Amino acid sequence: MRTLFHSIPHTHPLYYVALLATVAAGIGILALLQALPTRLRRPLIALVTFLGGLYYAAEFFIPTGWGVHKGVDGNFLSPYFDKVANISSVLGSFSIGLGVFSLIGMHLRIASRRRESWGFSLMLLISFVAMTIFTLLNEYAGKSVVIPSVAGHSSITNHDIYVVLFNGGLASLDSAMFALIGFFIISASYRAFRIRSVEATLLMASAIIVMLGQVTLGSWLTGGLPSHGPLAFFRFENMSEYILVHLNAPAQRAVTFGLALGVLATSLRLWLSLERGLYFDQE
Amino acid sequence: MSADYLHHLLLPKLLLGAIGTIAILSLVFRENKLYRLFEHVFLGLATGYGLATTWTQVLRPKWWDPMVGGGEWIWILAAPLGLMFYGVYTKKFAWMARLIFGLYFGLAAGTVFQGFAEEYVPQIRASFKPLIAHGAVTAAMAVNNWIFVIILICVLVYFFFAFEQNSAVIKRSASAGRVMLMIAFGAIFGSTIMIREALLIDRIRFLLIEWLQLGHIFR
Repeated sequence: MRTLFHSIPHTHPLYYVALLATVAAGIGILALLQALPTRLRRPLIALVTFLGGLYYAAEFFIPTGWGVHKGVDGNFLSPYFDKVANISSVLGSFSIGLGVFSLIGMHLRIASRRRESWGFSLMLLISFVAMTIFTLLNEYAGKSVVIPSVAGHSSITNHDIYVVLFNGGLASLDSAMFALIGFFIISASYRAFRIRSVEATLLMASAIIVMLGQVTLGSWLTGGLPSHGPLAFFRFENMSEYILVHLNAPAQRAVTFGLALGVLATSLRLWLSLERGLYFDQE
Repeated sequence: MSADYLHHLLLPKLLLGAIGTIAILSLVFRENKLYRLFEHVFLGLATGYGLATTWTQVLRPKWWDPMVGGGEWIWILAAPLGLMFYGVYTKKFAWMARLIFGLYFGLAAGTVFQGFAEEYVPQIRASFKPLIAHGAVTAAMAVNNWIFVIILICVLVYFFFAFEQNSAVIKRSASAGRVMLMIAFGAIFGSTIMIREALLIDRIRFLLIEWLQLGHIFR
């Protein structure tokens, strides 16, 4: 990218020639791909998947110092790391429209056909449009868009509306949603703890100690115990810390190792197109 | 009720936040229309915000600005590539979406190799702790290190499904691992509840102190 494709100032006519030629080439490649025989499609997908992961794998496995001057970190592929990461995030960002299209398309259909509860869908669409517009305005126009006063009220800016939508709407509802999950976790745990077994008792005891170790009630309950010496261990805050640092950490680390190995194996299967299933077996 | 207080209660930012919070928390009692309304509003706001920030945080600085401002014309190629994702909506071009998803899967898989080396290899190395009290390692530290290593091994043994756990040592290690896992899950569970409760307390604080201005009652 650094050597093959030199940047051209956008004021230069050649920039537009390059831009148009690349667009034409891109469309041409898409047309060629579409003309490809069906039996070649799967091998091509496998090849593209392999090439996609090859950069990171090669950059990782090629020893430090290869193809670079002495004292420079990494190998000859390392300088392109940020560029490839940018390509990855840009491509990934293009896919956000898939989710947005599905959601908005579904609610547009419900609202336009006035199906049951269409009012909720309409509110979703209004809040979506408003948030998109005012977030973009807030980013690029600052507080410059002034909405004229209505019925004697003082005029407001786009930033004021953004604050209402973000702080009053999104942030408040987000916190409330997560707080709500707390109720359901407690309700689920109540049902789980009714199963009387050694494991359930241990889980509950550990949870209670950790919770009491973080609130003033816990400190108050065991506040009579000395803060130094062997008995200090039985203060809730100390027991909680011991569970979190010395018992929870190694168990979590073991689970993490298992997860990491699983992710690594799955990534390898994806990279080498060994993964099978409904999605991967399609022609 | 003074005019100033009424004006404060009706401030759009506070009013929307308060009604929204009450509506969402009302689900605790039962499913209702106010909850559903604000659930949809939340979904709309979150989607809009996500879409706008994808442009402002990723596409604009990493794609549009280098291409238009920086003259890096080659970035235009990302547009037809990105459009290939939308092939899923047509039967004819659906395979093209799989092609670009394949590229993306490949890139994501590649980052996993690097992530494993950078994130987990140091953790594996750090798990080999000194087990004998010597020099800077005190007796208490050595005991804690023993506990750490034993729990780590027992939990790992519990997750070994590659062979049948016939041996008595393996069986006992696995069951000890199960017990340790329960304690760890309890700790995670307790911490999760505390985080959620902190959010709930924040919402109640918002309603009572920030919106209704009843702070003086709690002083």
